[in-house]
Amino acid sequence: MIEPISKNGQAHSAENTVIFLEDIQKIYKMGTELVYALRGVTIGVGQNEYIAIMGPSGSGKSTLMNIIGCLDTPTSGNYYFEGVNVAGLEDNDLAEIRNRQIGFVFQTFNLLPRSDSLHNVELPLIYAGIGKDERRRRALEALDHVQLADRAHHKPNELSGGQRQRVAIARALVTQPSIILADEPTGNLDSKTGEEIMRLFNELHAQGNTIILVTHEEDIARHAARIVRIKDGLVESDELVAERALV
Amino acid sequence: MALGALRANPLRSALTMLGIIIGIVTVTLMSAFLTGLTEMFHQTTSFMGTDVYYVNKFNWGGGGNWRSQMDRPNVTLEEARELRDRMTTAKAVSVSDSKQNVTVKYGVNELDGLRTVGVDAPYETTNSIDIGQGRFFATQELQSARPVCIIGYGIWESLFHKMNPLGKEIRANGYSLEVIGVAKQVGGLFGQFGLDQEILMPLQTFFNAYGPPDPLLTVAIKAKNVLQKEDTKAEAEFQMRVIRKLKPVDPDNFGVNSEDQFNQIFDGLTNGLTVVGLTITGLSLLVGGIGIMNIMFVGVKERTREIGIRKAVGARRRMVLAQFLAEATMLTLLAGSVGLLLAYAASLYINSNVLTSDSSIHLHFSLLLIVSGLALSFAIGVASGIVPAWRASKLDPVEALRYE
Repeated sequence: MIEPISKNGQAHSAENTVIFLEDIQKIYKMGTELVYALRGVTIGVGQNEYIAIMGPSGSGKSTLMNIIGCLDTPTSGNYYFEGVNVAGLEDNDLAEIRNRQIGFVFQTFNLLPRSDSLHNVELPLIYAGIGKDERRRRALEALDHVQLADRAHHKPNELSGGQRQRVAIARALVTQPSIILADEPTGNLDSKTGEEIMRLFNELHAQGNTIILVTHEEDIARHAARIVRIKDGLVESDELVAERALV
Repeated sequence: MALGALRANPLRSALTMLGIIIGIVTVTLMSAFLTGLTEMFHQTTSFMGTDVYYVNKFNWGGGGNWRSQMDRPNVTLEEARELRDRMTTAKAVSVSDSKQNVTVKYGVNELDGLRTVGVDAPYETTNSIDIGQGRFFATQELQSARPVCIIGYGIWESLFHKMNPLGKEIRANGYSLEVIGVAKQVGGLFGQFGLDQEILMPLQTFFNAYGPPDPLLTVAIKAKNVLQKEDTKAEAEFQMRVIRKLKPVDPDNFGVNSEDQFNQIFDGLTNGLTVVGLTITGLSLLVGGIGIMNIMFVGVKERTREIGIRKAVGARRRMVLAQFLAEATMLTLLAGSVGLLLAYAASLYINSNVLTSDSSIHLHFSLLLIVSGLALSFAIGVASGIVPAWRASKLDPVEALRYE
């Protein structure tokens, strides 16, 4: 058993964490060559933590995010999601975890271009099998949460970048997931809009959400309470942020 | 949801649907035609009567070797008359002879391609001749070969323009005949190629006009009792064997035929037509289906990212599969409905403008046709959508989200 690298005393094992990754390895086969994207990563994230995962491109950061997001499965190691090992689950089970436990926020927003905000926010609830009336109510509530209730019937191309990202955040929130996983959420936004989005994340954190932020920007990462740095497929450092950027 | 994708690309959807629309129109019209054909035939063969047998050197339906049937002796007038006299289970036995492609003139009016038939008294019974105006031949007229005739309804219509023909002289291939009766309209195929376009005259008159008997005389036997018609058939076979002095080991060298056999031949024919017709028109549906499949593949490719998004927020495989299948079937059902509407409109138009006469085939557009047309459209949607939909459902979410 590899000791968790974290020295902050927050998340050390599967028991008291929302997610706990234990010695995660991911090996890709490129032709005849094996590519070691992750070489044994161990991270725990506790309830209501706000953690940033940083690393240069090629560090394995994206692979790690995909595994945390249950979009991909590790080659070896254990991944406990609320105590359940999800490392070996099948596609459909992973889809269910993504649906109920994870709220995704992407760099490119990833909204359905032909659907209005309301439908985009409703989408996870459709797949959760929730009835139309409740779906609508919860989606409007989530849109209201990001101050976009008045844009419910606008399509993505009728919204600004910041508004689109807020719709995406509403979609991530609507299922009340265990974690919000944001991948470079400000990457496609100007710095002012980016700040607005980060302020929203701070608020969500303050309201009790668990947030995992993936970024390569130091400024953005400093909004989080803890930064995990990835390099060459390994955790390079895992530290609490001394001075958080509070906007 | 499924309709959204359709609306997003209306021109492309319309063009793709065109293949299915054309396919459904052709298949449906072909089915309507085949149904109409069968219907008309069965309607008109019933006119022949199910209890009438025809004695001939051939077996209808080609039982046995056709060539050996050609070599059989013809049924002669003497044999026919002897058979008529011997039959005990027959209501009537008639002997008749006919000539095709006769030209008939009345004044300046002229009709081509008619048929003249020389008949005897029992012909009225065996062939169910129904006289509309005038009367059937009197015994005296039949025996003394009087130049009189009965004309079919169609001839009355086109030669006399429905004016009173009784007592008028017509010339059939130059032979003068006085019209003493007009048969009632038969309608249908059998009217068109039968009594409606025929001129009946006494058999002897026929021989006087056109020379010695045709080698192919028609001998028609109507059973005394419909329920025991098989007995009548058996007797006809027995009597013919007696007349021809066949030994017990000799095979029949004649045929005793009935409408049932005719229907069998026809059913064989329509089955063939159905298979060929529906296969050929079905090809256009196949092409349409391939078009749908193609557009679905393109759609899956184009919407890879959307599929990624859906999977990321929790769509399971079968949900993605169901969505794309629904889109494909929606396309084909819509196209099928349009096709059915067009085909229905076309059948109405054709029935009221092209196939107008009572006697011709009518396109038969039934509820069953509509239901099966829609079912077929649905099936094509599933068949052409399943592979693209399956491919969509198998997409890896990570790669799908990365797709530009």
